Amino acid sequence: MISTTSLKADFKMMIREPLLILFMFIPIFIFVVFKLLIVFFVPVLYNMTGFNLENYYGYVLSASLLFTPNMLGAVVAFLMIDERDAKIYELMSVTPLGSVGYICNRLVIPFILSIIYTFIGYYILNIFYIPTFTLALISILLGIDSIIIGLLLFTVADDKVKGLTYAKGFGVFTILALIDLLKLPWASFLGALLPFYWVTRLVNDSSNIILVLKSVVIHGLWLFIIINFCRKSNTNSK
Amino acid sequence: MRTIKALKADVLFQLKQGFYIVYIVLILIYMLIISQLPSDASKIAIPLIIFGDPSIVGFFFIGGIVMLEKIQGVLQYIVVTPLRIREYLLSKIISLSILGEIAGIIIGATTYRESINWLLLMVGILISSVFFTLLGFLTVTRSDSVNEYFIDMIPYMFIGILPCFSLIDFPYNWLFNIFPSVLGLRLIFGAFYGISAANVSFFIISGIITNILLFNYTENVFENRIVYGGESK
Amino acid sequence: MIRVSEMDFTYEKSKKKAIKGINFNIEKGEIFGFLGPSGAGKTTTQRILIGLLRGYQGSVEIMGKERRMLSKDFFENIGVAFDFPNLYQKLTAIENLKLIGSYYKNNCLNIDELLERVGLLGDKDKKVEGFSKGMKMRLNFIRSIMHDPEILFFDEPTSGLDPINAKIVKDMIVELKERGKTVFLTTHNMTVAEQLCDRVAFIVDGGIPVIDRPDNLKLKYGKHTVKVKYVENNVLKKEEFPMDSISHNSNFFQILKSKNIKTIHSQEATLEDIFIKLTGRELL
Repeated sequence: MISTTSLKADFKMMIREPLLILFMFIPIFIFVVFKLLIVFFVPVLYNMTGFNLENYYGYVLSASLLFTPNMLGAVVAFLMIDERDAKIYELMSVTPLGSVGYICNRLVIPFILSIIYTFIGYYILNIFYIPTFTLALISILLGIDSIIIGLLLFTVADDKVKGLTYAKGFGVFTILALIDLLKLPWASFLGALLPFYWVTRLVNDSSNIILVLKSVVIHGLWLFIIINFCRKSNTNSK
Repeated sequence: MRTIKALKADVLFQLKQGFYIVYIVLILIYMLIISQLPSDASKIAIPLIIFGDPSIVGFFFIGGIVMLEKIQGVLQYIVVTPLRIREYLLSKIISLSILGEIAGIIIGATTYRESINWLLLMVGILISSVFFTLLGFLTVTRSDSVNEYFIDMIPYMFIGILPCFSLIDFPYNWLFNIFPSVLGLRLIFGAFYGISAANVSFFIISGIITNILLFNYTENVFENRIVYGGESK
Repeated sequence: MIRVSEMDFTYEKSKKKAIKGINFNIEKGEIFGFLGPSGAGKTTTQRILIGLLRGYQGSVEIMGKERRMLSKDFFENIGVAFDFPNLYQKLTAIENLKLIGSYYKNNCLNIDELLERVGLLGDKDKKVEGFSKGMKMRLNFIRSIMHDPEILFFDEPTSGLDPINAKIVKDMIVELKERGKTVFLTTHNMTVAEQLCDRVAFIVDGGIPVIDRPDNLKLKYGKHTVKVKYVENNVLKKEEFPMDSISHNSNFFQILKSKNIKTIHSQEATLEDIFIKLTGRELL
């Protein structure tokens, strides 16, 4: 399903396209910005208002880790939406690679990068302890999140403008991931329906084995639903 | 008159693209979050959210809209109708500003417990929304894909957003008052906290002048790049 | 109506002359065909006339005025149908027409009538994204004529259309001409050009070697022979005879009388043959 030559071609395209390089560096940039804010801004905030953000570092870490898969998923979705607008997608679906192979190839990149960036981000921020096993699991879950975002955006948006509109709407996901902060039971229930929420839970409560199982199941379920949703809409319209 | 017709077209287009529905959902979320904040924090958060989303929304959307019109070829056809480029730009700016105004007013009205100077709020949103939509137009004349647009956006983003930090007091920070984004933000804050009449008139005039100059520049760039395909006179 | 003299055009990026001193006049009520292979300068010329390319040399007069002096109001009087149907995909057929139509001062012709004519009335409330290529092309076509302009620019108006719909569009173009409209038709389809155009210009490599009426061209460059195919001893044979001496060609009559004739054809050259002969180029 995943061919190496096509992967290589994708990679070459990325190197040639400055925008993709930039997108590969922006996550690091974001981590650094978060870190700088923590170093300089948190003491100021504490002195000014008496509010100690340190109590919420689990949420800060989760928010910054979630940023990468959401963004990479969206970038790849836009790449595919642009290619569909330019009819490259149709071309791909009549090559031996096929449309499924094409989509898989596209999504491998954010998946792998999200895993790598999770570790990088964790060590750059260095504010909250997570056991290595849980961190590894979180990194894979975030990789899956990037696939979910990418497939979802690609499937629901049939052109660029819709893509932008939904991408904006997807900002809600990050908010829902941190929804426990609001301490509203109904809102937390809403958040718990989404995979992103469970990443935050796992970051904050990293040795809870039941939580681990729950988040894996939720992620698996979502991946299954999204893949089927994508398949269905592809066979219906294309 | 043609501008009104074009505006109708744009609103219809945006409606069909699902802009408004997504935006309503976002507004509801903002309202939910603000309502959970302690009232001290919400007093600062509300103007910042109104500036950070409704008044910038045009920057985000205009790229997609113009790119799609380019790809579908509609833009290619529009340039052979009597519709002027000026009118084309204006109708897009107005449509996105209306979206921003409505969103800003709803957020303000539903969350802020004290009185707001509505006229000032609307003027503030308008000045920054026009500015950001124009920056979006300038960005999109270069880009052919959404990802390219995001990258091309970055320098314009700096032009629009960075000067806003001049709201923090430092020597000569008034020099940044030529940026409509700064002026818009100051007016929006003014709508909540009060602002002197002299400042209001200065900010509004300054904002209008910069926006008009930028509009003329954008019209030129757009005409050269889009209508004439980069071929000069 | 349109008067082009010694027009030159160079694209900035390539520095190569795309149009080299071309001349032609188009009268009011004429269908003028602009024929040539891709890359010859058809689109460039059309874009200059419409006003989408600046910086031409020489003179381009439209309705008595130099093109570069004309304002945007000029577009009230022209209609353009590009070869690519550029429509709002998410809007319905009728919305597409009404929105664009509202930009013109002229009241639009009866839109339902136009839709009916090209067989789209039943689909007028459907979104364009679900249309076939042919349906989009027909919508594209009526959009260009709905504001009743004086000059029309059609670029491959029948491409992607089935023969019946192509016929409808061709008939409509002829009707436009009969109502005194001027039509500038760009195509590489010689059959369409032959059927519709009062005069055709061949454009090759930015120059126009020939402008003439299609029937004149055929007379001038046709071969004027008769080709007879007949069967002799179970073998198909053919022979050609010059047309001008055919009335006293005994060989010809001999074959007619004694052989098993299969076909007889006069060999007029098609426009395509003439094009190839004159320009040394195939049409692609």
